[in-house]
Amino acid sequence: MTATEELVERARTGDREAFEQLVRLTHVDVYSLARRLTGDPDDARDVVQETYLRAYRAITKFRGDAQFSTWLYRITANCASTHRRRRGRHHHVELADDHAQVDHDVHHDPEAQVATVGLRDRLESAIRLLPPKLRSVVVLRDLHGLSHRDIANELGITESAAKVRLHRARKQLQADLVTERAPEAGDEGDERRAV
Amino acid sequence: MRSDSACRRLSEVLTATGGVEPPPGDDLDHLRQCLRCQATAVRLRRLGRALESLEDERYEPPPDLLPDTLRLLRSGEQARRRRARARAELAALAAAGAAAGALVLGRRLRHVAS
Repeated sequence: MTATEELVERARTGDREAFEQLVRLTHVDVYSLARRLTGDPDDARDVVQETYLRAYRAITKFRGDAQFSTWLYRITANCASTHRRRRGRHHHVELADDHAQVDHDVHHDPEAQVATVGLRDRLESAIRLLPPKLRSVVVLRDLHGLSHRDIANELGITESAAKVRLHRARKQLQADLVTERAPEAGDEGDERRAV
Repeated sequence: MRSDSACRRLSEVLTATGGVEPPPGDDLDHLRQCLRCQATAVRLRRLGRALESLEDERYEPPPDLLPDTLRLLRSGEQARRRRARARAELAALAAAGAAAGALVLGRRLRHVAS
């Protein structure tokens, strides 16, 4: 049994100290996910706190079928989704079905562009610019490895809808990276660090 | 072989798999011969790798987030305990009231009977 699993076991029996230790161990990951899902530091903060409150109330029901981190990510996704609905804010325009998907212009050499060191920053910007519904799915699937089923459950959509959204998100990201859109919504690169 | 419809179909297939799995049958034959689709596949694989590289990047949380969250959890637990205690006290009061009512009713019934 790993140290985390031991903490989870203790937390399940009502040990608050153990749960607090789990919060200390996971809060950077949860904040990063919340930040990517909401695109806003203040919203991310609210989502993190709501996530841990819900997790604390529900820890006795955690059966250990999935990893504790996956379970937390699911709660985070659910909280972010609820938060977004509650706020009723929509900063982005939904993709039209006929949205240009792929740029075949040879001057936009994908290899050269993708090889640059700034790719990750551009990708972060492109993710931030996605409509929230698409952003949630690509972040949860491609960055945090949740299954389509888990994503569908937490976002309240069908599994096939999750797949369609992922498909559209990847196409949009691909198009955005190739056409080199300028970063928006502030420069957040300094706040990130590699771990 | 190069047809726009085949390219479009293959682009859909590749996007769904992230370009990492070989497409089935005819699509694979098309991919082997179509430079445009090969470029799409390369682009998708690179996108996939770039997304993977983001998995290791974390946002630095604000310094007060952790203490605030822990404080919130503790206050939430205290509130929960207070509510539980209040519920228990209410239940005890209700039980005492019911017992007293039953006692009074019993005496009256005995009184009427006698």
